[in-house]
Amino acid sequence: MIKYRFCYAKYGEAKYISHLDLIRMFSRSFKRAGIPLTYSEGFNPHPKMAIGLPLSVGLTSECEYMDAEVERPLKREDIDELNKKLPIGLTINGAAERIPGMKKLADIRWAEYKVTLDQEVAPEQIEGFMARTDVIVEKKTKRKTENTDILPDITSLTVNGECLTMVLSAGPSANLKPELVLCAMEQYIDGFVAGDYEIHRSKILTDNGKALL
Amino acid sequence: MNLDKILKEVQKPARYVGAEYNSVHKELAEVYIRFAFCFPDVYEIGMSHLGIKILYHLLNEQKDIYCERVFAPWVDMEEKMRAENIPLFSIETRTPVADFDIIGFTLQYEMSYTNIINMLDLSGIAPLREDRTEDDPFVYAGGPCAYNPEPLADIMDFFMIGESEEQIIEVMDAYRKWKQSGRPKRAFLEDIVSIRGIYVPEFYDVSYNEDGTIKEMKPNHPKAPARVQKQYVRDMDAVYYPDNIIVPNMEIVHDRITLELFRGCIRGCRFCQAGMIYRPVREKSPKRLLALAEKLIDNTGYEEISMSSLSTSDYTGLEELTEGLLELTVDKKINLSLPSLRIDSFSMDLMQKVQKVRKSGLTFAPEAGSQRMRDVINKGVTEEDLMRSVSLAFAGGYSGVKLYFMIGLPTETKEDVQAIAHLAEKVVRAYKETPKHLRNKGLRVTVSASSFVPKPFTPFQWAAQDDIETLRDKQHWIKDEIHDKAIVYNWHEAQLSVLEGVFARGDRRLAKVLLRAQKLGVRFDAWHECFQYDLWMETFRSEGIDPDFYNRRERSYEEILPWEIIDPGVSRAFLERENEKAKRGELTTNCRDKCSGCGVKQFGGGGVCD
Repeated sequence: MIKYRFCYAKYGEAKYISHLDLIRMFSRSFKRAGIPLTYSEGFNPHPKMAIGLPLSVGLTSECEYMDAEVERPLKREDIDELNKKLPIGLTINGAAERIPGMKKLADIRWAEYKVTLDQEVAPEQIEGFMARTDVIVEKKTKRKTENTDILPDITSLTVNGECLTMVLSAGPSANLKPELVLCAMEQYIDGFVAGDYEIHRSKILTDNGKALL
Repeated sequence: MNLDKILKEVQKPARYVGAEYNSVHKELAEVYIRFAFCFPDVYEIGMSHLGIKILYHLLNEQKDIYCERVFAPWVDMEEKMRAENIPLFSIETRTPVADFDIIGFTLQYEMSYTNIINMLDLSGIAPLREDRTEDDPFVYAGGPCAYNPEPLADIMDFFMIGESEEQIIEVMDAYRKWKQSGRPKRAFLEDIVSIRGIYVPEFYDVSYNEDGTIKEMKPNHPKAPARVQKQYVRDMDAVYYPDNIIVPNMEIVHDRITLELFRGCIRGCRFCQAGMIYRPVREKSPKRLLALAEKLIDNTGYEEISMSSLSTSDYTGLEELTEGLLELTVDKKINLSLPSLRIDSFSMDLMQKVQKVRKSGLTFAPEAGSQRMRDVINKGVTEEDLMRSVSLAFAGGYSGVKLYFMIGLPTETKEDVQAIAHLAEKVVRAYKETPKHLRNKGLRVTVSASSFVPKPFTPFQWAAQDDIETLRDKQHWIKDEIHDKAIVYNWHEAQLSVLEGVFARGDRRLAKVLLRAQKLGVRFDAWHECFQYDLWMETFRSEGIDPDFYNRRERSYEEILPWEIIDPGVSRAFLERENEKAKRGELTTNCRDKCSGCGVKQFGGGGVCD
């Protein structure tokens, strides 16, 4: 059994595959590619697989991470074969054996998003937004709705015409969704309406500021 | 069309986007016939259906045909589509349904009929045939419910009756020629009406007696046959079966490989439409099935294989097949599931083999509680059979058993109904009598009672159906007799069964009810949260149609039944004979032990019963 880390992109129609369905989809794709996954023991065995940071349905990404345990060493051809056996919109673009000292999926701290809007936003407006002392929004959890200041979780927010770039807290300790930042912008930037937008995850970073692979 | 915007706002957007592994993508410029395969329910139901898998890949093997899938949008999606003026579209290329050449609906259950009307409406296609023009696509239907096509006779241009694998290619060949010829639409219907199994409702006139029963159904076109013989596959090993089925990107109801072992059934249960209309019995060989299984495993990556048929334990090659499948699956962590096992031939050996990988619950279908009732329906199993089977199951480590029953069967008494509860209690006792070191903890006996719906081409096709009050009383009789806490009792909504009964044995006059019901917002009747019984009753009243005429009447043998325009192979004489035997509680032996002379052997070119 060998532990691997995979980096993959999710785009096109595949952006509608939910997090839970994604695990099942990968496990079937590995089977089709003839790559034997390691299964858990017990009554109802399942493949040992974990996805780093769930991606909301409807978002695309070029840098998702998945750890999986495989029964034999993988060669470059295995990854090529796997790419042939994935549904449209999913591509493995990197794989490496996990070695001691490597960052864990739980070390994820930030994610960078590129948001394409249907309108331009002036950089001054964004600067004004970021210069606020707080950004209070209503955050809904399963049980209740509460007011939260999301500003500490916005590491950076910049704009270039219609494209916003956001670096937000992500991972097990704090996780801010880009949709919520757009909501806050509607609330605090005069005349800003999110309208039609596309969100793309461009980076996932760990506590050392680097990517996982 | 900007779908992305509305897909962000609906549940399960994966239902509408396709792009699954093994889905088919073609260059549209190279396609001559565009075929929309429409399933009148949501994606996860439709994709679970075997017929769509077969016909989708079969049609797409033809280079110049592109078959795409269309499902009923769930209510949230429909609302957005109507608000944004987005017409119903195909999954593969997002082409509006109205732009296809041929639209085919599969009729799996009667309670999907309003979804068909709604899907046509969402496509901008007039649901009534007479309102459509030369520019509209052909709209047709097939599947088990097409054996009584009449409730949809004014909707469909034609029906394909029986098994379509071979017939659909003939129809496509005729379509190709017709399209090249530039003749009017009626000419195409005249071309195909002589293909076996094709029913063109506009080529028949129906007249009625004063009491509302049918006086006569006769062809008004010289080429239309007096009765439409069903089509069926003669050689199950030679017939097309896909080895590269679509693997959905979201969880569907039956998310696994299905191996079809055989068609037809040797048993002849008198309530069972499938057991009658799919005759004769025709098996696939274990060799063919194992070859398919191997390819399907490689091409899908699925973790489960289900052996499908009407009665799996009657498959003559079951041992060879199971052995072979275990060799293919155990190392790959693939589960085998064996639905439709009969109680009498259930073997400990088979059960132990299958549970090598995973132990799931076991399901038995005694169908009725008392021996008298089981004899009436010709179930052919005894209480001893069931007790022996469940005892073996408990000793083999199973602690969950599901028991399926029906209420509302012909001649049923209160004692027959209560016997359902008593039988379940006996199953609990069988568990308690199983030595503790053999049995597992956590006994759960699930009793499901559905309401019997008389179906066309069964010996019970003349029977009156119980009304809602009677069915509800019967549901309570069972409940009152269940005392053990290990028994979980489920029953089906009686209102739904009654409505199903109306359309199962309905005639042409019901089309206007379907149209009005859809206008009033009736759809997804099979979904509890959408079913609107009161709206249905209002529709019947306003259309001046009495539902009792269709399901509360015991019909006489003299009556012409609307579905008798179809010839399914089993003869009327056989069905009458079986109905009389039912009244006397007499059994008919299975087809392998003794031919019961159902008529299918004499039917259309000789029978191939195995």
